[in-house]
Amino acid sequence: MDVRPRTDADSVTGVIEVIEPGKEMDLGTDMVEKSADGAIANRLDWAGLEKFVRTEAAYADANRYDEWLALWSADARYWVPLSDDADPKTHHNMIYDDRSKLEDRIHRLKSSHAHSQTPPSRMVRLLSNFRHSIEGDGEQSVADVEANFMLIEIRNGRQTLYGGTFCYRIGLEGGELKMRQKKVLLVQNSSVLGNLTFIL
Amino acid sequence: MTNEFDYYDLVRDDRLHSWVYTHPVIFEDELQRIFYRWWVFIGHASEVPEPGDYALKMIGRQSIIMVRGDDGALRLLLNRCRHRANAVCQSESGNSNFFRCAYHGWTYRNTGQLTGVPFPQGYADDFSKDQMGLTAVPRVGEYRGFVFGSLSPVGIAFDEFLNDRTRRIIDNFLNASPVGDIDARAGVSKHEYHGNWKFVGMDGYHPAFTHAAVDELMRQRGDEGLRHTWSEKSTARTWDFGNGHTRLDQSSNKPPLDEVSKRLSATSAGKDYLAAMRAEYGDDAESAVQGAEDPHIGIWPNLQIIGVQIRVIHPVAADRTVVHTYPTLLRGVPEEINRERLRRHEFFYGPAGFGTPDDYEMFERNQIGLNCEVDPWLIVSRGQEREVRHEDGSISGNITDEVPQRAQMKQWRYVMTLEDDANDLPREAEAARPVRKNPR
Repeated sequence: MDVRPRTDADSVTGVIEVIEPGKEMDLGTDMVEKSADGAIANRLDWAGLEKFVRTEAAYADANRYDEWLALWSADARYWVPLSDDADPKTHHNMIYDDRSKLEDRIHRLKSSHAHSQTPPSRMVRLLSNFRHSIEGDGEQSVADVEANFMLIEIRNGRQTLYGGTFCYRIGLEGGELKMRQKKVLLVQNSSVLGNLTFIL
Repeated sequence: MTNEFDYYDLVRDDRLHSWVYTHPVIFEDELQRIFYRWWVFIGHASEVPEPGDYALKMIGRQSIIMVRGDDGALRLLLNRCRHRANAVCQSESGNSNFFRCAYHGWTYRNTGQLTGVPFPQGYADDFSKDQMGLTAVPRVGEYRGFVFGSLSPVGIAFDEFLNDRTRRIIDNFLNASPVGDIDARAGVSKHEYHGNWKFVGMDGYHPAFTHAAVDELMRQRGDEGLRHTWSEKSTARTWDFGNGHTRLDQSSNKPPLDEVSKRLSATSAGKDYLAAMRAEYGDDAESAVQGAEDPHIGIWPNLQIIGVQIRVIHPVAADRTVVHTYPTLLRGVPEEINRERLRRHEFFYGPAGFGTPDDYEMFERNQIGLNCEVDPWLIVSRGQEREVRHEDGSISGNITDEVPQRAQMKQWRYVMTLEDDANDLPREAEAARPVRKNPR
């Protein structure tokens, strides 16, 4: 299995190896149960959700930007507030991306000008203490998944440990699971922070 | 505190020595001579609107309570019990009638006055609670909600420090509100980089390169790229306002005023905003809105007003800095206007923005380069020959020119060599200083 983070050498040559999901690594497929004739079952269940969340984490860790972006719905909201209860109407956030800004974020990260990710961060995250709830039926069903995480990030010889809770809202779009919201509650969100330009 | 460095040798008119950014002894000297003596920005009055409201602030390593007392007055009090120096305030902000030291129970009113000492019989008759209140920052100055303090009882007067040109830019910034006021309680982000505090300068040369990724996004979307403003051909100007205050003035590059009305009239919140502005500023409503956009002023040593934000620079070590950023809300405008203001801020600024992290990456790379001392000089001569000296003493230059770098370091050298007992030393005396040798 080749889960290879983008490396220094890649950013110099501009070549990013793209691994087809489901070929060399078993990620990104099979997230939705299929019936015997191959048709997608339009429902969310815990097995599918767990796999989806783990896949999302693996793509984020490996800086696989396009595949990570492909996990998002059209009404995406990627949100990292500065406190757990901050109201975005009256407070600013570290990240408060809608779909368009999320695409800009990925575009920026993939360009050769994202100096704060040159070289890119190397990361590994551990997810635990999963909670989930599912509402609605069929195409309309929506799941909320929460997981605590620890994330070790290393860049330029500096190691940073982040922790907190990932709060996902996952729905169905065209029969596929898609992330509608990911809210990241960092335990250090109101403390001094460094470079957070990698995918949380 | 004295040391052997000759700051006139390290900071020349066209070049700077690396040690100014790397030497730990010089950093300590900066704390003593600049941050613990000169005027520094503390916070905004809107953070403590009600009696009892407080916010914890820092000047260098010194913890300061900015508090509005029961009497309605805003004070800056050192966060240090007069008994044995325990910090009496632990929360970043809140409301309290009292600050009580948990160590031995000494209790102070929110005006700083000492009201309670447990078992007072243990002190001699000449012990007076009146003399033992929380120590106030010796000098406090406020201009339209911007609160500054000086830890020295003597020195340049506040009105002289925050000179006319600088005050006018603050006025312009506040003019975007129909009631002329802002609210700095939209959250604070605290962003650290491993580099010297003076890198958070005022630089019109870097955007097209450091922020090439943003430039690309802008042009892709059909907007004018960054080079419209940030290139040698631009009509935008760099300014030295005196006292180390500097500005990147983009006012000549603004679109025509009817575009402001067109943009605002496109939404109902925008229309309401424009109507409120019209009621207050009449025909000048659009120019008040536009004139408030990106003041981009640096008020030396530790305040910048950029975009919609108040940015405060906190020196931690020669190679470590924390920047606190407070995007501001306008008072008296529809909520949607402020929401848009916050979203605009998030685009570029903060630890995960599209702009600031690339700036701080540059500052960290700077710090790496500075340690290579075989040829220790940084060159800040750009535009020295073409800068324009104005009648009021201010200096302007091409937007890519290093007018601000020279202005800030000229001020740095002045304050760093000011005698403790002669804070009002005339600047002409600068040139007469004896040159000392710098130690290896």
